[in-house]
Amino acid sequence: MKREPVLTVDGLVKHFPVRRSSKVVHAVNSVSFTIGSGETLGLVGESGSGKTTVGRCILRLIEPTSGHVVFNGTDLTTVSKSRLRKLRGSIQMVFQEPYESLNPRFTSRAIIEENLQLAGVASGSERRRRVGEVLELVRLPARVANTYPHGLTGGEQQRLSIARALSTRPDLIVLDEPTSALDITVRGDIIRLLRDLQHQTGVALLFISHDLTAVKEISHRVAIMYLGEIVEVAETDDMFSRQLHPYSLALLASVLFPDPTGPLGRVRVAGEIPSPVDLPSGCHLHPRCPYSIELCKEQWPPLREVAGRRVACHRAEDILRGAEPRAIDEVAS
Amino acid sequence: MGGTLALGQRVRNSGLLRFAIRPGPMLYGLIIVGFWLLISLLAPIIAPYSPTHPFPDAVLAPPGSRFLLGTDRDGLDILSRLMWAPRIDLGIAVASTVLALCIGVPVGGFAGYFGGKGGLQGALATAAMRIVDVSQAFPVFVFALAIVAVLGPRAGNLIVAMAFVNAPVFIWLTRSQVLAVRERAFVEAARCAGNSEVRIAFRHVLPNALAAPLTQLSVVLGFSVLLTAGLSFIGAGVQLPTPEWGLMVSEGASTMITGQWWIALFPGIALGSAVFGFALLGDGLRVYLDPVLRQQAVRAQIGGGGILHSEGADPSALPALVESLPGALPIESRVVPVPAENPDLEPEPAAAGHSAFATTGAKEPTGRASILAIRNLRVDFYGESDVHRALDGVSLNIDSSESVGVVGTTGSGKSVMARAIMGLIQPPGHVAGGSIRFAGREMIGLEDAQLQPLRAHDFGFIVANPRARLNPVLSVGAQLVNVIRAKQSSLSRKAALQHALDLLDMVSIADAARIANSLPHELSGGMCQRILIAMAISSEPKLLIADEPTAGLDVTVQMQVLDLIKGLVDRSGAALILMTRDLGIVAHYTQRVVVLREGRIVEESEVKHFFERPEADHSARLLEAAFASVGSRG
Repeated sequence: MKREPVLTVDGLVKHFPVRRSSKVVHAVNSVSFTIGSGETLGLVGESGSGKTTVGRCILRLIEPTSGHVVFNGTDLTTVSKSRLRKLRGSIQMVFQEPYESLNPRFTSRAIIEENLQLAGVASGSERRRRVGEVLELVRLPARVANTYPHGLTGGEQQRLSIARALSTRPDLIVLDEPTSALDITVRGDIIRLLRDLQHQTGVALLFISHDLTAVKEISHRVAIMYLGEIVEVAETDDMFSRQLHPYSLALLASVLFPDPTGPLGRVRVAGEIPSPVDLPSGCHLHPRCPYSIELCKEQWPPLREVAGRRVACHRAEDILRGAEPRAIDEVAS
Repeated sequence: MGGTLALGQRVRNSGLLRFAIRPGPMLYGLIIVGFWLLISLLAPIIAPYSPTHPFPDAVLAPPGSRFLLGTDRDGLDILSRLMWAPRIDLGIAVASTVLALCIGVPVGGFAGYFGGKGGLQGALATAAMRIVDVSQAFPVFVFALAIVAVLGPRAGNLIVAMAFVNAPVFIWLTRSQVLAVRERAFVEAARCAGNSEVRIAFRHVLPNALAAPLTQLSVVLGFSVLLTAGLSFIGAGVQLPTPEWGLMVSEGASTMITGQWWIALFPGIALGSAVFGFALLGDGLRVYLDPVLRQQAVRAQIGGGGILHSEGADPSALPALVESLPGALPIESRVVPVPAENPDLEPEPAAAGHSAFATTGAKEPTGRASILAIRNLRVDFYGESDVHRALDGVSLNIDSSESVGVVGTTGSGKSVMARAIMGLIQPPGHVAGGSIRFAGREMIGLEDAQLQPLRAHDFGFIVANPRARLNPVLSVGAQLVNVIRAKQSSLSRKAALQHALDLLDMVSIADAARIANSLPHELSGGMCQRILIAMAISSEPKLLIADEPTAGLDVTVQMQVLDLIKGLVDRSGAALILMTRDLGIVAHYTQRVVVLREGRIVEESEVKHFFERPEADHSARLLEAAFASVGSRG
């Protein structure tokens, strides 16, 4: 499934300064990945993993500390602001809170038309045509065009948000937790809609979420983040059938399937995510990890190729061979 | 002013009109202000004399047939002057306020949007706010006085002076609004669309920040009328013989002592009424711009009251409605506990249908003692003008040492049920009827003092957002000790502390001594939840109620907390009621499932049975949604 990359993120770093201190918050530490055209990459992590920061850096809503974001051959981190504004039409974003991300004083039509106008669609009649087209694409009735966001349900608002993103016919849409503010029934609809839209338009998606079930449904590949780093990347099926990083194991074990006869994952990580200001030495997971060894405290494990995927763990081979985790109480003490 | 309003309120323009004609502060304000505007416009026609033409023959004439409101020292007709004066008073007020708005909104908008952003614009924003700060250091009146003193007392200068002193109000308001709006996601969405910063500021941020400054408009207008009059009163405003209320009051003040009361009284009343009118207008506008207040106002006018939303509304609910009024009967007399001898007796026909819920596959008699028996529990919540029945005839048995999951979507009544069992329903909520028996003892109708020992010893309550439940300035260890000693007052502080450390150990806190000395904000959400669980199990309760215990926690931490609760319950033999939206949690951590929908139990089944063959349509829908979101089974 080798595709021409639409987006290449290379060594992305974002550190936020801590007020009245020389310390920094290590939100993102050297993240690299690519997304092919028509591909969906699921970027997964718990709160504090830095996944949202990655998305915002790609769109340059915040300036990355270092690293490169190459979109269709253009390095977005170095282009001028005016050039960047021109490129915005081809790289769009959908936000977590659908209502919050829509200007309450604009009708649906105005919201989409503004996007089109800024993307260079000058003719008014063309814009109106495209509004109708894109509303149909996201399966919203045409009357929605003249409605204000507060008159729409959460699901409709998110569809409108997706319609806005699609209207400029982008090559890539960054979706930041697009389903987590929605009702469980609506969630499935939005996922299916996104999948269908990708088939129709060939748009590439970066699907940022903590919701593993949604990620499983929509992604071709999954990247799992922990404390500002990608710890494991694999094809979705490979990832969900077997994990080689202890954190991935614990994360996947925490997905509770609504089936009492199904197995409950055994692997747990101890305690909680440490402060991204003072990162643990060596492997950032080692104080919580049921597989950690002495080496993990001293040496930082880079992302490397193991069994057809990329993992950042010293013990990936051992885990592949079926090494047993320690009991969680032993890890904590 | 109408034009300015329309700018901000384009969305709800027709709504504003409809709102304004309803009886209320807005309408009364409009009537008063409109009255003075009309008078001043018609003054040339309806005023009996010229406002500046003296009658030397009638100096200080009292009110009478020739001069309805009398004349002043110069023999000027007071009624005529009163009618002409609003041209100056309202004119200056409106002109200065509009000018202040025109200065304040852009400056405040700029300062808010670029404040703290660095660069030239950020520096300018900071500089602007510093200047505003300095100008605010002077008392408003003195500041205006100083400006007029420098420029000279003419109407035009008055407008400028008052615009200057009023602008900071709008600058501050607009700035604070913009600071809030600029953080909202649609602003970021606008940036993603390729808007320039200036365009974002003026097209997306500012229009959403205008409601507060516009509300303030009428308040400032009223204040300006007073300020104009005040400046004229001390001689720094418009000069004689121009008709102006403040000036007229000032004229009259000097003759008040000699008995000519009419000179000051009538302009004083006029001034007061105009300011009052503007205040009413502002009040109305505030209500209009706040959707919640507006809804209440409109609802109060259509005057319904006592509309029962719940489907099960029956005539018997009406007496309950009456009794719930303040000063009505005490709680005990309101509820009718079901006699214990006949727990299945349904006292009201409306409840008869509820027992028809699907019980196939529900637990068989196990021989275990029932620890909690809920019968036909009904809980109402009183809104402004309606009653919402949150629980509508809930009946449920919990055996000792069984784990029951209560599932339902938001608003299905899960939390209300948890609080009802704990005896924590508080106004506007109210237990309308039914019975809750814990270990055979009826709890409905018990006084708080009687419930307290039950809560302390037999119940453990675990809720979402644990940090909010902890005292932020006391170490968690001390809080745990307090809880322990409240339950066992005989225990010494030292023994209680040892017990606390043991409890922390039980909830798998490795470094108990250090954690005990921490303040809640130093601990993570998962750690705070462990502390809360430690408190809940401190008296070895027989029943643990967990209402969304893992909401807001990360999934890996959720697993730790659920494992912990399950382990504790398994070891102690306590019963567990777990309220949650997550069917995954129910599947793996409970034995029986109760499905709540709109305050009623629609299904009660063993876990395996529920997930294989849900009985109720609603359960099937919940399951379908859960599976749709996880893909396939397993």
